[in-house]
Parts: sequence; C-alpha cells; structure tokens
Amino acid sequence: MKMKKTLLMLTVAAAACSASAADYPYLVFQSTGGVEKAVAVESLTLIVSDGQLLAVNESGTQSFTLTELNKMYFSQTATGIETIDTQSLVGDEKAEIYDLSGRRVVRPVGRGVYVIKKNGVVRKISLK
Amino acid sequence: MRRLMTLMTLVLAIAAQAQTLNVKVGDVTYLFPASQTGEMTYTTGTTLTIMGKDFTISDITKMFVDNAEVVDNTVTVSYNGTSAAVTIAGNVARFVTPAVSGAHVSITQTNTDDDDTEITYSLSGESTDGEFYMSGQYKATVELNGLTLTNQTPVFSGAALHIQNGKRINVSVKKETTNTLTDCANPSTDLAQKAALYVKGHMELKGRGTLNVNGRYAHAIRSGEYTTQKNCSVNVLSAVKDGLNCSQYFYMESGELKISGVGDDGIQCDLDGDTSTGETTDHEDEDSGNVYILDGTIVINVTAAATKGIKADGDMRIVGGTLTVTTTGNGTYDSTEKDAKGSCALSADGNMTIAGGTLTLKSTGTGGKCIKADGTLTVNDGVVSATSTGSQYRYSSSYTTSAKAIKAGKRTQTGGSGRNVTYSYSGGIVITGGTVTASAASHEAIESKSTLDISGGYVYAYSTDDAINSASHMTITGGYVMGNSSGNDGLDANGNMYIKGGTVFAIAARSPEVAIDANTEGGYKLYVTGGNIIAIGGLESGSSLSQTCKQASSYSKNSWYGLYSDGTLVTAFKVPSNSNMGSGMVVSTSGTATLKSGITVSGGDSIWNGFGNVGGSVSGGSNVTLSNYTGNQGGGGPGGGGGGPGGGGWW
Repeated sequence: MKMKKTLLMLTVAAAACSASAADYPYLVFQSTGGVEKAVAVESLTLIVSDGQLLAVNESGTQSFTLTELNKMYFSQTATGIETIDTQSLVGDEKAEIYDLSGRRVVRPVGRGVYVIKKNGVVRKISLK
Repeated sequence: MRRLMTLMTLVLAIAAQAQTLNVKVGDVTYLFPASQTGEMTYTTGTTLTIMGKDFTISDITKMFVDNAEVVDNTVTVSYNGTSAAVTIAGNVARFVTPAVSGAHVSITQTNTDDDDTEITYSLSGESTDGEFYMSGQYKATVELNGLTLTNQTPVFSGAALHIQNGKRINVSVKKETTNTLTDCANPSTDLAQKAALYVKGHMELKGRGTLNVNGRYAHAIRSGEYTTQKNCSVNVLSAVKDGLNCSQYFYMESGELKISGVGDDGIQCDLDGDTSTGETTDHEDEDSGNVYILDGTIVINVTAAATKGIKADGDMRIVGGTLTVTTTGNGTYDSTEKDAKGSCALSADGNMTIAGGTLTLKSTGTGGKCIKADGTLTVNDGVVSATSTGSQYRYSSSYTTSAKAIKAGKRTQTGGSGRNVTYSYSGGIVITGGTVTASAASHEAIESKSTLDISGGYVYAYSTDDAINSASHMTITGGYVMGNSSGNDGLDANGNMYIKGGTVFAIAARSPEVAIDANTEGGYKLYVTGGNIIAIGGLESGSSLSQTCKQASSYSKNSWYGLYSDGTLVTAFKVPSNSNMGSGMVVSTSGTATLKSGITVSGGDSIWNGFGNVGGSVSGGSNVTLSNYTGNQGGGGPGGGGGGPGGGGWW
C-alpha cells in the first residue's frame, strides 16, 4: 500500500514537473503594428542578415524586418489573429488550413477562427 | 525499489529538460531559459533586450533554441588550447560583461540586485596560454572544475587567475578534480601580477579537490585581505617569492597545504593597515596579521636565506593539525632593518600559542630557529619537536644571530653599560601542558628573553649550550622538565630560579657549569621550595634550599635510576651518555629522597626523549648511598649562566 502511494505521488510529481518545465512549441514575433506570427521552436535558429531576422527551422525560413520587430516571446499556443485573403490560399499546396476542431479543410468556410500553417509559420485567422 | 529508482530518475530527467534560447556573441553564449525570458524586446532594429541584458543585434552571431541545461547564477569558462568558450546564465547576464581574446577571458561584474544572488564562475579545461580575470564589487565564487591554466602572454593580467574584486571570493576546488595554475614569468610592467592566484579581497579556499600553483614571477598565492582554507588540498610547487601571502589574517580550518620550491617565506601574513585590531569576534573586520591553524596538514620547506616557514605579523595560534616545517637557509644581513636575520620555521612578531596539534620543526642553516615569538610563547597542549642544527650566523661582531630551537620574549636595554646595563623585559615562555622536545646543536635549546614559567607538560631540551635559559626569572611549579646540556648549564636563569614543584632533571657539563643555575653574580638566587630534583653537576652556589637535598658522589652513564620520596617512586630516569658531564648527582624530593640504580623499567610512558618514564613498573636495582648536600658541591660556581655569545646575561 505504501509503495502504491509512493508511486502515485511520484507519478503526480512527474506530471507536475513536466508541466512546470514549460515546453513552448512556439516563438511568437510581434511587429510594431501589432501583427503576431508564431514560429515552431523545434530546431529553430535565428540569424541576423542584412537587416533581417531569419527564423530557420525544419519547415523552412521565415524572415522578419528588424526595424519592424517589437518583441518576441515563447508561447505554448500559436497566437495572433489576422485578416488575410483566404482566396489566395486555395490551391496553395504548402498551406495547411485547420478549423478549431483540428480538421483540415481545403479553404476556410463560414465564420470562425482557422489556423493556417505555411513554411513553418502558424497563423490564426478569423472569418466574420 | 528498482522501479522506484527508475521512476525517480524519470521525474528528474523530465524536470531537467527545458528549452533554452542561446544567444551567441563571438565566443560567449548567453543561455536564457524559455520559462524565464518573458517578453524580449527589439528597439529600432538595433538592440535586443532579454531579461535586462541589452544586445547590439549586429554583434549577435546567431540565436538558437535547444534543451541546454541552465544553472542560474552561473558563468562557465571552458578553456581549450588557444580558445575559451564562455556561457552565461540568463538570470545574471545583465550583471556580467565578458571580453575574450583567445584563451584570455575577462569578466566585469556589477552588483546583483539581490544580496542572496551570488555568481559562480566555473572554470575548466586546459590552455598553455590563457587567463581568467574578473573585476567587480560583489562577492562571488570561482569554481575550479578541472582547470590547467598557464599564462604566457598576458592580456589582462600576468596572473593565471586574477580576481580584482575587494569582496569575499570563494575559490572552490571541485571534488575529484586536479587544477593547476601557472602565471607568466615575465609580464610587462603594466600587467605585472602579485601572484599566480591573486584575489584583491578576501579569499576563502574550499572544496575537496586539489589545487597546484606555480608562481613564476612573484608569490604563488596572494590575497589583499584575509585567506581561509577548508578541506581542499593546495600544493604550492614553486614561487619566486612567498608560497602564500595574505593580509589581515590567515585561518586554516582543515585540508592540506604543502609548500616547497619557494624563494621566500612559506606562509606570510601581514597587517593590512597601520594599527592592529587584534583578534575580533568571529574575525569580523579583523586586521591583526594573525595566523590561526585549527586543523589540517601543513608541510612547508623553505630554503632561501633568512626565510620563514610561517610568519605572522601578529600572533600565531595553533590548536590542532599536523605541521611539518623545515628551513635550510643560512642567516643573512638585512640592510633595511640593519640587523642579522636567520631562518625560522614558525615566527610571530606577537604572541604564539600552541594548544594542540603535532608540530615537527627543523632548522639547519646558520642562525636558524624553529620557533620565535617576540611576545609570549604559550604551550598548553600538543606535541612539539624542535630541532636546530646550525651554528651562529655572524655578519660582524655586532651583528649575529644564534641558532636556537625555541626563542621567545624580548629584552630591551634601557640604560647603563658593561656590567651595569639595565633592561626591560616583555613576553616570555609559559608551558602548562603538552610535550615539548627541543634540541639545538650550537645555542640554547629553549630560551626566553624574559621570564620562563613551567607548570605542566613534558619538556625535554638538549644543547651544547644552556639547555633551557631565561633572561629573567625562571619558575617551575609543575610538569616534567629535563634540561640536558653537554657544554653548559642544564637550566640557567639570569634572574632568580624558583623550583616550587614538578619534576626537574638537569644535566650540566663539567665545572664551572652547574645543572641548575641562577644569576648569583647579579644578586639573584636559586630557590628550592618544592618539587623533585635530579641534578647532575650540582646546584648554583648560595642556593636557598627549603627541602632536603642529597647527593650521590658518582653515577653510571646510560643507566636507569629510580628516585623515591618516602619510599614511593617519583620518577624513573636514565642518565645520558654525554662525554662532558658534571660530577655528582644531587637529588631532592618533598619527603625523604632515596635512589636506586640499575633498575629495570617496564610499561608506562616514555618521556624526555627516552630519558624518563612515568607510570611504568620498576624492578631490581640497588640502593645508592646518598650524603647530605647543602649546595655547590658537584659543580657550579660563578660564571655558570648566560649561554654563549648573543645569549642572556650582561655580556
């Protein structure tokens, strides 16, 4: 019984430690205009080159103009909701579009928030 | 149980995993835990600020995220040949400014916000041309974690490790590591170092590893303020000057300290300011020039002229540990102090207290001494062996220094001249316990330049001069005291001699020397009011004898005797086999003294360097015929006091 209690406590502790280690899947960049873009942290390298900050990971390279950057922060979720031309994504094989249920769709349909993944950059959009 | 251990390991592994933003600027990498970074701000595209640390973006080589472990409050420096890699924990990045040139690393540290936040600099790796220099105003820890560092072409300082920080610096020698520091042999004037390991402030040596130091330009180790040592093993392998030089005080709690191959003293502790605070409570704000040895092992060999094994500007106190200190250098003339100086194993300008420990001290050069204290030497406990084998150092007839085993106290001329010189006395020797064995080839084995008081312990002194001498009064109230002289008096007081208790065994050379001498020529006297006395060579003439003294007209060298008082054994003793010994053996006890020769002794404890026994069983032997003794029958007479040139008395 004592061993069971100990094991239970350790399991809870493991879960707690896991949570407190705070794994951040994303590094979010915010521009001076308030626009946010999340980049996957896995294998992420940031390189400064010619006034640009290049975020390079397995999905590809995302470029940010340094003078237009306000801040960056680690995040557990892809944050920032934009307004974009969804029509431009249709037929774009590199773009993956998901609704909030996690189902992949060909194009955003109907009102709501969608998550778009392209070139290693994840964005949220809202259709009104 | 195994399952439990596995799960615990898993928990710890999970806890250790964390994301870290690495910001690389040249050879320096800043490690920012993702859980601590918060918002990292960009300013006009030129500056990135992370956890208060401003980076000029154009200086950043690259940034990347990995699972590197970050230990808060830590800066690591890993030396690798001609380069050094520096990592800085994110939470202290804003307090630390590094500069790296090849394997030469400099860190400027500002104060941390939190009094409890202390930065640890962990140094490791090897370089044959590198250094670590830190400047700052806050206490810190420098951890030596398997570091071998030699400075050949200094960039910041000629030292291997230079902490230009006036605060408390822990130099932590990590367990199971060996570290070696060697400084530059020929630095430029502006980078000239005081030591291979230099701390401007307080240095606390700790840890359980090993530290070797070579000082190729000046000292091996130096601190501008106090130095303490606990646990670690420190080996000074070479130094142009001192092995370890510090100010304020030196405090050894435990560990090992071995010093050899030095050009000056082994350990020297100086007063920092002009006035001594004396010892303070918990050594708070102390500036005394004192040396404290609580425990540990100290082995020191010094070879240069007039050098000291351990030198204290103030007092020296030894309460434990094992000390083996040897000096071999000859005496020399000090043109600054205008005096002849000799080498000395333990030297204190103030008082010296020995309250424990095992001390083996030897001096072989001309004028060499084992113990010298300008104040009072007090022995309460411990085992002291002091051997001086040299002869007198003579610069001129006016400047000489004698090779005594133990010397303490000061006699200062206050007026007069010739036989009418007057003196003042300070300090002296007080022995209340412990075991002291002193031997000198040429001069007094034990000399007090003031008074000498023995109330306990076991004292053995041998010399070709007076074995035990005092410039002023000598008083024995207890203990076991043997003064064995093969060329002069056994015990000699240049004031009054008081035998009030204890057991005294004194041997003198042939007449006119006496076993127990007082300065009758100066109007002083020997007073016997108690104790047990064995005196080969008789007592000083004109003695005041309050208890009965007897005499054996002859004795056998190398033979064991038993002295009895009212039929009870007082002490068993063995007559030395000196070639030059006084005639007759005087004995006295508080009761009726009897003597047996040719006894057999078994058990008990050996004392007096094997010439005595306490607590043993005595068997056999023959009664020795004793006649009454009223003084000055076995020797003695005028001129028996004072020792040789440079000794006590008025000459």
